[in-house]
Amino acid sequence: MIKNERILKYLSGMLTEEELAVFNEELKNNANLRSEMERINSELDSLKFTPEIDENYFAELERKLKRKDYSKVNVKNIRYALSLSVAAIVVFFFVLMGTANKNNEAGLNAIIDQNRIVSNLSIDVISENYSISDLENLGVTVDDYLSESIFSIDDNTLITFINSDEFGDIDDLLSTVSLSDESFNSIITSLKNKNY
Amino acid sequence: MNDKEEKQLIAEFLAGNESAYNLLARKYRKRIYWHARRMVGNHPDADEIAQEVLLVMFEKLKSFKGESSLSTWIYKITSSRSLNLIKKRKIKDFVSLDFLTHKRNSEDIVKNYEDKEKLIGVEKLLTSIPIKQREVFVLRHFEELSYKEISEITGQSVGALKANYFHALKKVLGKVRND
Repeated sequence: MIKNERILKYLSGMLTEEELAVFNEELKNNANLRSEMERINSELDSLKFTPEIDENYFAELERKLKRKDYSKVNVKNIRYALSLSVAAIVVFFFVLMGTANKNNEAGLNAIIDQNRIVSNLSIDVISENYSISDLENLGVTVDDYLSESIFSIDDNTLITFINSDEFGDIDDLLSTVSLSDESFNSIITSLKNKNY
Repeated sequence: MNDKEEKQLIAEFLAGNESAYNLLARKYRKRIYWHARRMVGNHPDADEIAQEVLLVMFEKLKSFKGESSLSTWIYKITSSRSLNLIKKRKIKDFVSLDFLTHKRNSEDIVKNYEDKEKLIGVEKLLTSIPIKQREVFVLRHFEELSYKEISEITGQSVGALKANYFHALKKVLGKVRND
């Protein structure tokens, strides 16, 4: 434990000009303070020693450095090669996809249209924008597709929709829907049973 | 080598003379190594940092604007690399791979047994004080830099550096007396 923190403040340069003047004066006249100061300086100096080291290490350090620099260049080259390979694979993949698209254009368009319906489908969309014949034209049977689509709507969307002014009463909705298909009615019944 | 000769060497290196770099590296390599070693507390890590710093020096000397002295610039790189490695090691040691720790302590360039023991003691003491205090203590006490130079290296204000040095001194002396 250091008894006199003023010495540490002095060594840290934390004393103000006035404090420094007082401290220097005291250092001249106070043997105890001087002795404590000498002790601290000697303890600190004891940490500052230069050990005998293997001087070859520093010569070796330069050689290591050259090797490292060289290997770094190699790593850079490998990275470039890898990047080019990945880019080539990606380009090849897109070319293949393009060919597949051309070959299956009609089928893909149908799938895209179906997916568009799945993702956008809501009850009002069905009632206002689609007829069964539209869906049948896409090659989807009403029973399989329409019911699946309805149930693919997540619960939050359904709740929002059901609570909206647009929805009103389910029976009102049914009366506005031009479709009289049995499967559509069964879907609405299922919705009712969900008790939102 | 004085400042003028140093500037001349930098100019020669920038003009494409790589042997000028070798002379600069030779001048600073020991200082880089020992600063790193006192910061990280072992030879293998100090060796890693010394190599990195010498490489960075080679690659970035072109961007050295001469606003500070070359030595300040080099200490800055060494200090920041050391701090980064210490942080990295802390995470690794947290996961604790004891055999790596052992490896770090067993390799050394200090041949004399007594020196080795003494150095281990100093390193143990330095690594026991907080990193910011250690940094200012090493730069001021061992490298004998002014607060202004340390401020340029660490980016801390002189007031903060003085306070850190004060606390470092208190801890270091407390531990020296307890041992």
